[in-house]
Amino acid sequence: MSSNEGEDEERTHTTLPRADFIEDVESYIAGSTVEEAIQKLRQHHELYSTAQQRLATQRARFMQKGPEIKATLSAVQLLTRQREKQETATFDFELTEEVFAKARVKPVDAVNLWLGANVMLEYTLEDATHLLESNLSVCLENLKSTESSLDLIKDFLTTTEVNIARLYNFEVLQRKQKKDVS
Amino acid sequence: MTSKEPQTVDLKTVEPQQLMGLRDQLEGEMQNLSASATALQSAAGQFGSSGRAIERLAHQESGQPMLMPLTSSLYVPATLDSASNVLIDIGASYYVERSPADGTDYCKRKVNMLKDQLDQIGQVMREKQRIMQQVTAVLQQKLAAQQRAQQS
Repeated sequence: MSSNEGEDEERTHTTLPRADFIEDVESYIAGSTVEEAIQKLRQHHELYSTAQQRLATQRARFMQKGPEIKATLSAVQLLTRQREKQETATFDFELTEEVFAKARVKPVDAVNLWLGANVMLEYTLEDATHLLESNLSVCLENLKSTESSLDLIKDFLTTTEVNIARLYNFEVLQRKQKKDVS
Repeated sequence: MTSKEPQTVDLKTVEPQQLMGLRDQLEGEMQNLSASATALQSAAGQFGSSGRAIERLAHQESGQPMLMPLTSSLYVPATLDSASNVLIDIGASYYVERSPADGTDYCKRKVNMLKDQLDQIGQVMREKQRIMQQVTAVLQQKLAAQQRAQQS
């Protein structure tokens, strides 16, 4: 799953056109009209906006999953400690959102992890700890890369908006010059 | 200016501008009310399923083996400690320990209270709908009259 997200990020950089600040407007337009150039930039802007929305949803997802994984991990660590002390503890567990009931938990060697898609697997405490730790680090990594992609896209968006404004001003100037000549 | 009781003011004497403002205001209120109604309904549904869950719990025996959730994705083999007590969240971070019978009763009372509030909201919404229909009708009449006056 992590390699897909990594590729996803690279795709963001390679399939999206880079937005560079247009230093010289005339040479940029050479060979076509200002309208066409502005149109192209507007299309780029839309691409960036869609990518930005997609990344924002991704980021929200990672922000939500991180604390969940952390909570599960610390619960497994609690059970590990309990096993070391060979204690039986009483827990209040959530029966429904407003109702809790009591259950007694003996020291266990294995726990059941809900992996989603109607799949639940039994893991030893050690395997569960390793799995959760690696899931957590993958989640945090993905969050970081998504956030850096978001920053990059924001730069692209701003640069493109500035470029569009410059092209537009150039067109206005062009038209004025033509009028002055005629 | 924007009267809440058009029955006491003849709508036909109100300006089209004010009528439009009144209609927008009513629409906004309707949206708020329907959002509240949805929230009440989902809360009632939750208490309903909580009540059923407590009832099922009451039929279990203490010491029954079960899978206990520690988090939303972690389950641990455990034994049910007691089917004679449940902990109920009554809001504001307060929890109350009660027997299953009291628990189901609490949930039933909550569901009934929420249903009553839903009915009240339904009534208010119907009333506002009626007023809005009146406002819209008068507004359309006035706008049509205005158009005819402009064309002539």
